[in-house]
Amino acid sequence: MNLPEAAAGRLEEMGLLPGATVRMIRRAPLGCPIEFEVAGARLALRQADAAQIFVQ
Amino acid sequence: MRLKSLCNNFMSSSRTFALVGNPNTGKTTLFNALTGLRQKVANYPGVTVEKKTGTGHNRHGEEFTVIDLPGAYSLEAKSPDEEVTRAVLHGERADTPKPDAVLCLVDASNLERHLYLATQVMELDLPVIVVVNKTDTAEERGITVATKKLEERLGVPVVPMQANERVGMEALQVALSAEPAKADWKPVEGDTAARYKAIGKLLEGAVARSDEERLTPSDKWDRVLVHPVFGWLILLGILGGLFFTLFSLAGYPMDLIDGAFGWLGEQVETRMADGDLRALITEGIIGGVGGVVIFLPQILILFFFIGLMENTGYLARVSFMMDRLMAGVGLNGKAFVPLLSSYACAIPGIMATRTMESARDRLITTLIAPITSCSARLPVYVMLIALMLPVGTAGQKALVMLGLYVLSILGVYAFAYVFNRTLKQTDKTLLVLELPSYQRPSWREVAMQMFDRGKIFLRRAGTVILGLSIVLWALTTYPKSDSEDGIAQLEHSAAGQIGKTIEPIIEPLGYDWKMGIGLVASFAAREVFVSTMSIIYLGEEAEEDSIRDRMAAETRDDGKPAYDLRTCLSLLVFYVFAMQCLSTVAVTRRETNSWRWAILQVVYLTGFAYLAALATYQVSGFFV
Repeated sequence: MNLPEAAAGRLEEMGLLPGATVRMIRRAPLGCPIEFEVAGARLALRQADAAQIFVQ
Repeated sequence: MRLKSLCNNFMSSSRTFALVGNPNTGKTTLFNALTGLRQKVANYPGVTVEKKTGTGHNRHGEEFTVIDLPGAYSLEAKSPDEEVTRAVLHGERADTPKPDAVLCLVDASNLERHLYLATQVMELDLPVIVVVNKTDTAEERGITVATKKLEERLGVPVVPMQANERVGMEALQVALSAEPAKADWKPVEGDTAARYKAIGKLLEGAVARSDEERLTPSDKWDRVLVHPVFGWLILLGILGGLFFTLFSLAGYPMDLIDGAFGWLGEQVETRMADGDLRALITEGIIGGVGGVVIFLPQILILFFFIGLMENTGYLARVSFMMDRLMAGVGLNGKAFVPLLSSYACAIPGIMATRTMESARDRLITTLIAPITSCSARLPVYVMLIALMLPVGTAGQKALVMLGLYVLSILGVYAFAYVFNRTLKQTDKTLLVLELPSYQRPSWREVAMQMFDRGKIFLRRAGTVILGLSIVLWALTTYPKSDSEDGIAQLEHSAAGQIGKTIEPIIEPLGYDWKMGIGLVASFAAREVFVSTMSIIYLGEEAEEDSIRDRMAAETRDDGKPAYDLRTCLSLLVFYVFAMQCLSTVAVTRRETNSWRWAILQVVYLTGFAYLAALATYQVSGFFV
């Protein structure tokens, strides 16, 4: 994750830990933000922010 | 008053529970279920965070107090709201005593994440009761929680609930009536991952998940509600319904209120002898307060819609859909609803900014909210457009009205951009929008929110407007002249003198001193312009149509009409931007907790209104 510390910390607290499974659900009708499923909850992140989170 | 506080001191032996949980867990629902209407809403001193406390009774009939703490994801606070939660739980806030025990509300569908906060609370050395909420939506997703197992492992009550249906209240009451206990939980050492690992261990074998991919009802709703085509149509439909209700259906209760205040005024007039006191009561107090209370139906309708959207989970989807459109000027999707509300009235709009986490976004939205074309401008617009286009068709008039709305939208966007560029970025926060599962609306909760907001509106705005109406009335009445002629008296009054004094400043905008009085008077509230004009041109008893005739016939010294096209245009532009609403100033002061922003708002908006009106009048001179 290449994000400011507070923001990254918040996402980790919300379950976005290294090794966690993230599922993309859908894009908003205008293409951004994007809805993800993280640790059983639905979160929307902006594309630019989501791009800083690296997945395998 | 003193007796009451004395009583409260005697009662302080009753237990205080803090209600803690992530946002969107149903905290408010549970709070309402526990306390009913016995609740109090205030602000934590020094921050714009709402403090809600209420009382309930346990099974032994003993009273307990519940503090509904702001939603938080973690005790490592990252927003003012979370900081309040952290500080109260640590007993660091002088205004709020440290709670005796904590009700930790967690979502059954998403236990790991919710227990993140709950386990942090358990480490504070406070007794806890864990409430596992929304067990029904979890079951729809194939998740079942063995609360008994968790209870054994933690040694504290773990109560399954569906707070919105009031399922599980009995068991919670039992837990609330027992002596609270501390959880059997070893503090986690290490980082976020370590805590998640410990939580995973706690939940081992206690949460069953069916592996099959199933489409939850929430997903089915989303397929339609955020659909690229249907989603927009539905949103437009809802907004259309909202505006239709605001501007047409609200008219009936508004007429009733208007009539009631009119009747009240007449009663006073027939019962009291003519004189200053009677005029103060009828014109100042009844007229002034009536002018504010008349907006109550619109405020209630607005909060009905917002409450319903929030309660069902649809509001988060609206933010999700609108974010892209707001991002261009540095706002995020959460600013959409407050700004939309402001089209009815900036006061509930600014109050609705509380749904936004970022203090900076909240501030920017608050600052630009008064540019939205609120309903108080309508009577002014209608009057001026009629004067401007005396022979215009209804279509032409509607076009001008539409133009004013477009101008206000452009203004909102432009100033959002300006503030986004100039206000210091305190911390880089990114948009993390949680999209909770849809749920059936709780009408009771929506009603309670309407009631709450209505009360705040009447109390706050009412007191300010009342004071101001009296001041304005006095300004147009004193000092008294010997003349019986209304205009001569007005010219002699303090307001008249103010109008004369500012005439050189407003002359380049195309206004004379009488319009100046209207402008000054409508600093309290825009629609006052209309009533002031009626006082100025006709004396008190005036039919609106005849004021228009009188104003249309008004001439300047050179014999040309005073309300010509240029002056009317200039006045309209002025009213689009100028900050002429003391209630909004009061609300901004309250919501930002500082006079600084409230004053800045008045200065920048009125300053810009002046320049824009000046440009309009001068530039239009080349064409007309």
